Amino acid sequence: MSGRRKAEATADLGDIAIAYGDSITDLPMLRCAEAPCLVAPGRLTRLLGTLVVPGVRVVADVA
Amino acid sequence: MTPVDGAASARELVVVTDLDGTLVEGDGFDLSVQALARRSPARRLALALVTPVAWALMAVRLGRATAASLRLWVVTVGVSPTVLDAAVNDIVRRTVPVSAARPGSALAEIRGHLADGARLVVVRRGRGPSPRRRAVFSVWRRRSSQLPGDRGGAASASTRG
Repeated sequence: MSGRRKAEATADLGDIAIAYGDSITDLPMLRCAEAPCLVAPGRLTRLLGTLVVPGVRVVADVA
Repeated sequence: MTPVDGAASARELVVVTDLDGTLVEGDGFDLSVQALARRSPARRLALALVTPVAWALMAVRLGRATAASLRLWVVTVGVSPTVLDAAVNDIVRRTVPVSAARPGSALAEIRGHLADGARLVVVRRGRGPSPRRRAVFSVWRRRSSQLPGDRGGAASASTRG
């Protein structure tokens, strides 16, 4: 539910250049961006992100 | 420069980011509540006393917002908006170390986008935060040259670098 709501909120913003998220619920939001980035996800999130979000890039760490 | 180039360069750079685990290492709300409690022994004790109640409420899906409000109330009741602003500012300054972001990290990248004039939008889950919770998060927004904010619901808040 929260993933869908995040994606809806993101879609209202127009063209999204870059998006950052760290969990499975962020994947719908990342799909809305031209350059989606996963931040240090776990293995399952990384696998799902790769399968579900085209061109997703993994960012190593938060800080 | 062609008109097409002009249109491309005039296009706004919009960067969207999640909050917890992306901008903040851990749960931003929990970090804020704990830091606010540490400012006073009485509030620390009060938070310890209500925490089991909050845990019980957390077990019920509809009780999560109440549990969060209860914990926030205990650490902020009687605090003036000015003092609360300063306290939260201080917490955010220590919790979101943008200036010290490591090269290659998400924070360093996001700081770079802000420096390029990007509009940063923080999208976070949650529904209709209480006024006091909104006040706490509004300080995050005000520190916009540093980072985030909140607008309730599947909330988004934006800021320019």
